[in-house]
Amino acid sequence: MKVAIVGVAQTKYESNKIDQTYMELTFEVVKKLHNQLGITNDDVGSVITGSNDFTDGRTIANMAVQDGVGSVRKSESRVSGDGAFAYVYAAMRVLSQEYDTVLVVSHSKCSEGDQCLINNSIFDPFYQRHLGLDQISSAGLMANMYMSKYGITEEQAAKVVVKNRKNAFNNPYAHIQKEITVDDVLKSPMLAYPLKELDLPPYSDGAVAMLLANEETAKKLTDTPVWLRGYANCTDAYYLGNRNMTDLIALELAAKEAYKMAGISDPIKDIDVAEVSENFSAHELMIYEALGFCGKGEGGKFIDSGETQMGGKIPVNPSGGVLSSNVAMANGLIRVAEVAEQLTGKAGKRQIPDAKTGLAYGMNGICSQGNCVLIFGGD
Amino acid sequence: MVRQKGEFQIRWKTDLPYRWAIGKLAVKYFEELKKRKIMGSKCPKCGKMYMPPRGVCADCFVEMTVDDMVELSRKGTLMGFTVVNYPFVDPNTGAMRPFPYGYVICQLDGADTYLMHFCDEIDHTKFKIGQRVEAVFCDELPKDHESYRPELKGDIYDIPFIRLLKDEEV
Repeated sequence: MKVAIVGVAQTKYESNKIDQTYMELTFEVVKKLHNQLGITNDDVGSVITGSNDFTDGRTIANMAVQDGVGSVRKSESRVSGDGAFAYVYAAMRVLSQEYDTVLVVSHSKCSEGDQCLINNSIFDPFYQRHLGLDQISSAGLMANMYMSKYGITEEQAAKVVVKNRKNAFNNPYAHIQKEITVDDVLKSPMLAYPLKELDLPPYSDGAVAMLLANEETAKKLTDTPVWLRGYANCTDAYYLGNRNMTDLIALELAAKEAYKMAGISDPIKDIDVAEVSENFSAHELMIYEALGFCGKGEGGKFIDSGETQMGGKIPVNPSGGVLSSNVAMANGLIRVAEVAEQLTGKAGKRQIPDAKTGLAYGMNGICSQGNCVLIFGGD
Repeated sequence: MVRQKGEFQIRWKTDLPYRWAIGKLAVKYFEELKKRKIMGSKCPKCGKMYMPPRGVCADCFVEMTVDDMVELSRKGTLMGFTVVNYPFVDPNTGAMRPFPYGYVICQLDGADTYLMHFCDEIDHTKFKIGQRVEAVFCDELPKDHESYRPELKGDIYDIPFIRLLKDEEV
């Protein structure tokens, strides 16, 4: 059994999308996808959505997008978490042979809520929440521990931001399209040492949709299906103090398993493009290490080598990544969509020539707790 | 949320109250904290010492009970730090919290896991990973200190912060 991505659609990512509710955002991408594929809602067997209740401000928030995703009086389910996991859920529905096609949609209007308070609510209310820890301060702790252990400099971390912002310039969907220099990053206001304002992502609103299909249906819908070749997920301890904080061990385990399934022995050689969910500058360096693009502690040297830039051996985040468009909880599905665009040659100015195998990494929780690694291949 | 030009807003405020059970280990932790004791929980199988105490050892998938709780040192080692320098709504009060303030992640002597807490140091150049730190109790502070309380109450503010120990104190 095989499962293909047969089409993807994205909104423009930006903050304060005040003209659309989040249901209307999902409608925009689903309608776009229907038109692109020449299908109607009747051609969709089942719908999976991915979102976060606290960001949407409603419980069982998927119930509020049914009109927009076309799931009224239809089979529907949802992942409360990152969109990469919603992709997996949808792929399983196709692989179960119960449905020929499954629509997967992920949305977020994270600029509408206080992301610091929403992320603070991840922490337990007995020992940790009162401290006010959130996605920025916990990232500061992790960056400090990682960078100190391996001697990574703030300049090396800043290079990640410079690269991703430069790439975002080529992505019409990207939120922040402004090139910056290492100096700009280093001189931006310190928010949580060693992380400065530009080491951290914006808060973006948007939605992404894709249609998955079995082999037979995929052939009818597209000439360029994108096949799932490998998958694994792995979760680290809930309590930050129970992790080592200097290495993304759960991601490392997930990557090994996904590589095994996809038959990847040398990721740098075997993977043509990677789209990863980097939640702060140094995080992307940690991701390089966990994905085996370089050795442990060598993330800094690896960004220095330039191999993750557009012309490098393994371009990472040609889309501009999360540092350019942070649609929290949709980020993972955006990574999958971007890999699909690359493997079908539809990535426009951000296209990696001849990309045949791509990796998408989605995560949720504080400091990469939940990790999902997906390997895709074109025909 | 800042009101955008021409934006139509409907505003309301709702309390969403919970009465969370904190579990027997946390009750014991706070009872002992009031007696100036910092307790962790030790896995009866692998011996890993959890601080703060947890009910399950994730490594062994084994339950830990109040009988597995052991007193730890108030001193430990600094593993990481950050200094928060952005406006933040205090989740305890709903009001803006003054900033900057320090956070540390440290390993108390005898513990195998890390504790995150406030630190009274706000100059990032003063922290050194690997240096010695100490939990400060509220009644030991000068009376005019904002975190001073004359007695321990068995809540999280009994230890208002971790302090960095000076070389001569180690």
